[in-house]
Amino acid sequence: MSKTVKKKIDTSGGYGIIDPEQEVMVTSNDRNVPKEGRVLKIGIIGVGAIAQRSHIPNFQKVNGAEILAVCDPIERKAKLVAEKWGIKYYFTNYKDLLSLDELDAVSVCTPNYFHAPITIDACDKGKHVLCEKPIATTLEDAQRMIDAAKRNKVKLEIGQFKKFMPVYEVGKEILEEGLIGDVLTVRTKLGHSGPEDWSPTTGKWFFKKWKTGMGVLLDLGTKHISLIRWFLNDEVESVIGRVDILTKAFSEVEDYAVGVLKFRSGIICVLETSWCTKPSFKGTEIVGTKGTLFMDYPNTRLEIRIANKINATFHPEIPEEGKKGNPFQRFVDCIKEDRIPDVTAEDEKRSLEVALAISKSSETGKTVHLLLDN
Amino acid sequence: MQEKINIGVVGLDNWYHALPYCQVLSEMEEVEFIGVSDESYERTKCTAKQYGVKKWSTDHREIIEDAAIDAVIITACTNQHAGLSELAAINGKQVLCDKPIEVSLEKADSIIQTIKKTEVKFMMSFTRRVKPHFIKAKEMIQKGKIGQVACIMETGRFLLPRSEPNSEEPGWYAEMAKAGGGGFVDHAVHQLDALRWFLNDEVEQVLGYTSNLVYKEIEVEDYGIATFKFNKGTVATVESTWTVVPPDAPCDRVEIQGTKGSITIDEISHRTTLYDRKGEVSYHFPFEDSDIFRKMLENFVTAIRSDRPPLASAWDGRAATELVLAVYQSAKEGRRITLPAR
Repeated sequence: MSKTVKKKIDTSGGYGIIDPEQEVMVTSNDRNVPKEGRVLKIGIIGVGAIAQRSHIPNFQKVNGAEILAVCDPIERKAKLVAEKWGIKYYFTNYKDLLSLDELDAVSVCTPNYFHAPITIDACDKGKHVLCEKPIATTLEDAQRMIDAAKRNKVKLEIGQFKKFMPVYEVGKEILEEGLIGDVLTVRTKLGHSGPEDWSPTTGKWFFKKWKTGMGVLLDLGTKHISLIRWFLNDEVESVIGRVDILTKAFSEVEDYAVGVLKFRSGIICVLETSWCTKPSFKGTEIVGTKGTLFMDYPNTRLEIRIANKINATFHPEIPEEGKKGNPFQRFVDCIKEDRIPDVTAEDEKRSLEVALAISKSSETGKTVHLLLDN
Repeated sequence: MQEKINIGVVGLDNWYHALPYCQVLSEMEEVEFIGVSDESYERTKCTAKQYGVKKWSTDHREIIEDAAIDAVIITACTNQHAGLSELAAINGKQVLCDKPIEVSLEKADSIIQTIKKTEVKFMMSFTRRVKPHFIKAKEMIQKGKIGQVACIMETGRFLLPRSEPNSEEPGWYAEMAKAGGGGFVDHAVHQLDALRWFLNDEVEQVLGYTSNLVYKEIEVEDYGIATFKFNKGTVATVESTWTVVPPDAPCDRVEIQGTKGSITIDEISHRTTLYDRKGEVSYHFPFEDSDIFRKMLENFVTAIRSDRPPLASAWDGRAATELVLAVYQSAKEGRRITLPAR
């Protein structure tokens, strides 16, 4: 394998950290999948856990794209990942990566705070962007990202991919078929023992406020906020909430949050999200006028309890693969076919707004009404 | 052998509790069920006949003031609890009072003052404290099985109550003046009492929301949710509703997350499960509803006959009601309430 190596000293302010040698978690078996048609060249910015567990292996798998370069402020880490996955270039400054002319798109896999500046620079260089969730740490940043993508006519997608999971696709079909009647309330929860367990070597930035913005609310909370908004086809009107540091005294950001989201239709959603939960939990229950739908509760499965003559409980079959397929393939295809991405930045700005509102309610002790229109 | 304690049942409005108490009273060795009163002539007469109760009346005073009566169970509608239990206390009767203690803190305080003066025993009918699956969870928490309790989520979804066993209407349960609230207060007092009992701790801050999601025509809420911050740091969330349909109704669960593990309680299937590093252990407690009311009465009898305080006091009743009222205030004003609110 031939490999050209470019490297420069990082001048942009670091966004990754710690112990690069223990970084490589995924082996690259799918590297040689044949690519059809024009092959998009992808750059990965930030090679922490999410890049190695998801973005890199997924982009290696898809048709019509290949990873051309990676970037991380820690040189050893960037080099190690590039070697492991057979990636041509590595950099320590993302601006150098962006100046590669043949590059079509980038994945932004950095800590939250860097999502906006890197995405905007990438857009301004004419690159399409897949940015990890959450979109940003402030609404202003999110809007600047949206504007940058618009003015440069590039695609901007946010990696909020829960809605691609087959269990949720089937769940949404059941909802839309009206099997449980009109939705009244939702209870949704997502928690694990914390980023230090999920990503032991690189997870420490999650606890630094300036890098992460908020804690578990952005990390996990936005996932289910996004999911529930999608299930209900509805937007949040007001929230009350409580965020707290319950068990991680060393953390600068919350490790637990509860939000009560009132949707415009009047539906109430109770969102619980936690970094202090052993064992981890996840689950969504949608209570309707005719029955209740359980998803992922307690394991990955679906259960509907419907009130009728026999008060039946069903467990619909969940297909192995979702209808939409791999979201990374969809991202590549949306560039090639000039389609709107599946998870738009506008959409994820709304999820961010809800998370920020929960935090604000906790801070002020007041009901927070959301401002975004439409 | 000790003499039997003569008990009267005052008010049958909360028949969900009154009728099983009547049933158990008629079966227990230690007590004699000798009087029953209710404003409804038919209901009182039928109940007296069914359980072989000698004295019955549509005037509560006839039972409360009867010299033969040692103790009363107050299961009249909530806004009568103070009047009836204070009358009983003044007449030297021991009181087992249904939940919630009253519709306001002023009336709860009035009860507390009267029972202090009269030195009668007063016990709140908080049934979770005798339920074996709840006791199991409390033991596990106390033994440190899950470390420090970080957060708790209680989910209670119930059907709209019925004013009588064969009625379709909620009746007094949905009247603000008589019940002091609706779908939230109805079961949240149980849930909140269990929280205080589990944690041995008091609430500092309350943030709540209530709504009418299904029954828009009733004057009380059919849905409530609130988050509670306890003094020692635990955050608990309680959802309590009248808005769910079978077969998911009733749904009544508690999920307790600690620093070393977690506990879930399924009230409906009487199952308590511990999750920790070693895995998962589930405890199942088969019992009948009547067993719970028997245990409540046994505890009441023991408290009367000994110096032991009853398992839930008037203060416990006041505390649960204070929390519910804070939720209502928070929901109304759209702001967090710091306790004590008044």
